[in-house]
Amino acid sequence: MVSFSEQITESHHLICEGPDDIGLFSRLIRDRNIMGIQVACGRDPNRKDDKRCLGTSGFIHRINALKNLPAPLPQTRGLLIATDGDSDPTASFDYACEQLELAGLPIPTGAYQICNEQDKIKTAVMIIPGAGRQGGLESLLLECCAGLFADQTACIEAFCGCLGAENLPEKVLHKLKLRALIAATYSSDPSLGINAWLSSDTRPFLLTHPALDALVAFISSFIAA
Amino acid sequence: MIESLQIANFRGYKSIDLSGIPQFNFLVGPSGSGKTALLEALWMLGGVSPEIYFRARMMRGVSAAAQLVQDRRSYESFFRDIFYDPDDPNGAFFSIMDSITGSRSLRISYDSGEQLELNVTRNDISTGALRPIVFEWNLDGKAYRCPLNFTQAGQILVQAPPASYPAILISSSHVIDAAENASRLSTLSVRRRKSKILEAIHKVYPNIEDLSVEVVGGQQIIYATLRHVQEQVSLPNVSSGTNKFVSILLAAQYYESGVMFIDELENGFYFLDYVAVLNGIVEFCLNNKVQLFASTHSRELLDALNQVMIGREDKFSLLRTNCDDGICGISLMDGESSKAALSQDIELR
Repeated sequence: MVSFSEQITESHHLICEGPDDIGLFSRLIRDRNIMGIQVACGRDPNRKDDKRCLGTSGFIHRINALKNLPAPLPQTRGLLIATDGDSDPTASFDYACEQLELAGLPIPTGAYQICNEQDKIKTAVMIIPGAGRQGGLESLLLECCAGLFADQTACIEAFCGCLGAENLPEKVLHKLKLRALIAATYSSDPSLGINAWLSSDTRPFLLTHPALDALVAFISSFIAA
Repeated sequence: MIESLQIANFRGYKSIDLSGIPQFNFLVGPSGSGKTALLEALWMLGGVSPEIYFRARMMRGVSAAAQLVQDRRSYESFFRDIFYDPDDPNGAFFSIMDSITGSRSLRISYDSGEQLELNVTRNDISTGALRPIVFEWNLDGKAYRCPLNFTQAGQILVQAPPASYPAILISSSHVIDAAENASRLSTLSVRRRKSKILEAIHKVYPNIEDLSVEVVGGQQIIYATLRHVQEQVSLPNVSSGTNKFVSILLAAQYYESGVMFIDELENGFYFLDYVAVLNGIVEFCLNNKVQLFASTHSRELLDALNQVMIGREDKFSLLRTNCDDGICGISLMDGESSKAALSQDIELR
């Protein structure tokens, strides 16, 4: 079996939790013409054939893999972690910082703050969907779809009410709603994955959506810092 | 054990310094980026006569036979590929700091003050005063100067050389001479140390039950006793991988406390054996305090290395070579970082 390894082409890296995050950010930096940053997740170092992302547990493996690359590979100048706020954005931020600290890297003072010490790798943590907010990637994607599917959205809200889902943690509720929205609007494959749905053929919103502006601005400022 | 090295004006290397070198070093990088050159430089440093340069040429597949005519341009063109800048009067320079034997350096340059004796039969027109090439070793402060002189029989003249550095270079295509291997096995057998070799071989090639030295056609050759095979088979005929593995283990025992250089280590080995082969080599080198520098192009070998490193990452490094605008460089990635990158499937070659 031929296997292809990942080529390191950039000196800034965006570290994600999972493939859906990679899908969104890869398309976002391409469509918004952001140069100089590579997007990936951390994998299980003990299971090389398992290419799946390890979620937040993978952060440390990706950080360690990138922090000391040999020349002529691009030397890592910046590591930006994108992590879901989940039900406790502060805890998510703290966990990301712990991983940076474990790798011996400087840590930022808060989410969306760039830690840029001389002769050290620059670091930052982005909370998804936004600073201090609960939720995750699905929350952000729902915002991008807001107002697009009024009829389906009304049905989904009723469906969630019927299930008593409104009491679920925000991230879980948003997962449920997005899942239902994709199923409702993509009849040829209701089980379509988020990453596939994000491809330009099926995605119902543009990556120039204002809900993504803050992320784009921060990624750009991180690279420029 | 080599802890640091310096190379100047040699092949593609204008000038490089490397420190923090551990016991096991794996060189990666594109073709022509200086992997073999680095191995050759360190190997020649271990020599005691200019003859080592001719042996290095042979390893590259260039004939050792040389006709050095009394013509400066022809004479110097023969050695031209040693130098990054052939016109640099300082010549090529290599030095190492060894944790046991101290510092050792070698300078190869032309010296107009030396007397040149050539075994020549032709009367070419000279284009300038011949400057003999001189190999000058410095062993922990003690200089040993050796101009390239030949006897009337065409052999290189060496006068009272100092102790050589225990180093062996196994080139990408070179197979260690069968008689040399047989002699090493015989020595081990006499010392009752053959069992260690057999034990290591069984782990990779369990069908090999025993090795012995036999004289066939007047030449000593290692023969293998193979499971389910009635007659013994000469080791080179078992498989090139088996022969190479045995050669490496024998060399590791023979060059105890020395350095082993292996170009394109993966050649000859079946890819599913890489972990076992590497483990065997590493264990043997550890037991015999042998330092290893090995180059590879193989991703599968690096994956195997990733497994072999576990728990002893501090003894490993990845040396990445690269040439930019004709100038080669090298950077060292420690074992821990190499392992982290390889396990995330990042391309380091």
